[in-house]
This record gives sequence, C-alpha cells and structure tokens, in this order.
Amino acid sequence: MSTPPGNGRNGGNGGNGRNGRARVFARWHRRIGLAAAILVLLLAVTGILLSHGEAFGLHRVHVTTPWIVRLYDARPSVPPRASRAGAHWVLSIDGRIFLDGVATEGRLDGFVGAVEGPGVIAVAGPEALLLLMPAGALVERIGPEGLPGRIARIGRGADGAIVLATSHGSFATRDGLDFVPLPESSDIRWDDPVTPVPAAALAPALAAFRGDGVPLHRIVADLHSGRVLGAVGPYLMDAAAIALILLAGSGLVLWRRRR
Amino acid sequence: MAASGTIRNGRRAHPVARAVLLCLLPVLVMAREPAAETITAPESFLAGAFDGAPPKPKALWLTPDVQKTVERIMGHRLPVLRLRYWQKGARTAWVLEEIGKEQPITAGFVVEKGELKEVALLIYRESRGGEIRYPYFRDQFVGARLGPDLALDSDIDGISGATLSVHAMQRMARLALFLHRQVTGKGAP
Repeated sequence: MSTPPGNGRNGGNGGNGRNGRARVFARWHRRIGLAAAILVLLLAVTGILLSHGEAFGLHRVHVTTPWIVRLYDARPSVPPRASRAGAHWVLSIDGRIFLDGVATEGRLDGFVGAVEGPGVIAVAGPEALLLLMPAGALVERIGPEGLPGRIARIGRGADGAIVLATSHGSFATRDGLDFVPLPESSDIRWDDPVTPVPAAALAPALAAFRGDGVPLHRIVADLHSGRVLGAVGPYLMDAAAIALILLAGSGLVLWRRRR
Repeated sequence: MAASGTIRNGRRAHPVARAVLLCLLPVLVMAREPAAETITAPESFLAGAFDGAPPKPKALWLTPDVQKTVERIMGHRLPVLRLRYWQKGARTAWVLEEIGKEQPITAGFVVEKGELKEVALLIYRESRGGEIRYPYFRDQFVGARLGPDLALDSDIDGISGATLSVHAMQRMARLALFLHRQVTGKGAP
C-alpha cells in the first residue's frame, strides 16, 4: 500500500485535477487495505495450515472444547421432536434421526411422526418415509416416487400395518412397497409427536448428536472458507477477495501516477 | 446500517467501514442460497419410463457381496439395506442419489438389456454444476453398457466447473447398470 505526497487527508473531494484524484485513490487504497488486512491474514495462515494439514495431523486432532462443539453440531437449530414407536424412542434432531439414543443413517426434512410396523420402525417426514430395523439399520428411504402422496400423519392400523394420511387419502402398507387405500372409517391410531421431549430420551440422542468433538481440520477449513460464521462467512471471504482485486487495481493506478 | 458514504445523524460512517461496505456490496448483490431444484419430478420420470403406466416397485436387498461391488463403483457402501426399482419385462428403472460436491444429486436411470436407455436429472441441490441437466450431457449415457472392469464402455465428456457432478452421474450410471444385472439374472461381473 503506497501513500502519495499530501497523505490524502485534505478535503473530502480530494482537491482538484490529477493530484486530487490521486489522493482519493490513495485514501481508498489505504481504507480497503485496512478493511481486508485481517481477513487476508486469516486466509493466508489457514491456507498454509491446510496445505500441510497431513503433516500437522489436523485430521487426527478432535476438539472437544464445549463452546466450539456447541458452535458446530451440539446445539440443534430447531427444537428436537420425538415419537414413541412401540418400545422405542424416535427423535429428530436437525433432520437426523435417532433411535433409542443411537444415530441412524436416516435423515428427514421435517418430522411427522413414527410408529412401529411389522418388523420395522417407520419414521415419516412430509416427503419421505424411513424404514428402520429395530436395531437402527436403515432399510430404505422412500422418497416421493414411492409414496402415494405428501404425508400429513402416520399411524398404525388395527392389524399392525403402517398407515399414512396423505394428500391423496389414507393408505396402509406392510412392506413399504405396496400401499393400499383405506376407507376413512378405518380404525387407526395416529401418532402424535411428544412435546417437550422427555429428558431421558433426549439426553442420549443429544450426546450422539454431539459426537466425539470436531476435527481440527474441519475447524481450520471452515475458518479458511468463512463457514465458521455460517452462511454469511463465505460471502465475507468473497468480500476479502474483492478487496484484494480492488487493492491490485488501485495500487497499479497509484504506481502509474507516481511515475 | 449506514450506506456507503451516507450521512446519518450528522456523522459520516467510519472510512474503513465504508471500505468494508464497498467490498461487500457486489457480494451481497450476487449472494443467494442454493435450493433444491426439481428438474423432473420422480413420478413423471417413472411414468415416462414405462409409457405412462409404471409397474409396482420391487426391492433389491443389498447383500454383503452386492455391497462389495457397490463400494467398488461408488467408493462407499450404500447406507440402506435395500433399493427399490421398477421392472417391466427386460426394462428396469432406478432412482439413485449420490453426493456431487456437498449435496445429494437425485437421478433416474432406465436400463434395458444391459444398456442405458435414458438418464434424467431429477433433483439438483448443489449451488453450481447444474449443467448436467441438459440433454447434450445426459444423452452421452444412452447406449452405454458396463464393461468388465465396472466402467462404462463409452466415454463421457466432462463439463468445466461441474466435474464433481459429472463424476457423481457417472458413478450412478455404472451403479444402475450393475443393479440391473443383479435383478435380471445376468449375474455379477
């Protein structure tokens, strides 16, 4: 960052003619440099760390500092929801599905409820149905292509079948493949998610949600990309990159004027 | 927040704050969150694959042997115990998901007699790389078969800026061909 004679401190309009414009350029060159300095330093340091992440063992180190863990996955962004499916507790925490406090491979956008079906636990979201083995293995995730409609409620028929109330009526299934329309008078026990979630069911699921801490590599990578600040972060780093482009441009103009 | 260079309560914003705003302005203008985009509704894809009358779905259970080959193709096991598919005669249809860069890509594949007949992009969730939706890319898969090394027997041209999405589509195409073999009794490669 260079500073021309006069230091650019005179007058809001930067004076007259070429000297005035040079002062304006110098002033903005300096301001943009100051604004970008911290972010550029952060980018440079974390970039070096990431380039040699293997040597530094960033993947092997897990950070368990409570506030950092909280910053990541520990604090659900929306209140957890839960249903009692037979003898099992099914919880939805930020789209991840937990069965009896253990994380499953199941993910849902939205939580409608859960019931125990023939040999499986069925967990419903508005646009997908998960079938879980009682031990937690994910049998299948049934998307819109396999459902009779958008799911509004999930229940259990008198014969133990899984029942879905959808935008096209109620349907029963025993295997998740064949959905049979049901008359409205059918005897169905609809699931009603439990709120608030009992602490005894919530605590083990939250512990599983938090996991073993956050890999140091992820923290450094998120610092580098700005994602540590959430959705806004990457745009902040984009702003730093734009600042560098402006610095390069204004620096060239100042260099040319000095010659 | 004071806009760049504006006066509020008689005081100008700090010069450095104005510089930050200057740098942020184009970013804020361009900023938008990627959202899931349904290119072709899965139901429409299935209807098109079977002349408007898709058969009832069947399930292929992923045995350890099948998962082993799936892992060779995809680089990871599928996190499910079974996959559904639709079959009428020698034709099968599959709706598969694979991560491109960060988000899952949902695609549909129609296979007949060991040959890809149609590839459709159903739901795209990544912020970039969506060029894989266009026919000029998808049509390259039509006619492709699975080679003995589980690779496609025809070359697929990549798309600059969409490399990871292209690779995800290639993996899913190979998987669909492999799964078709499994359900039509052609056996493992």
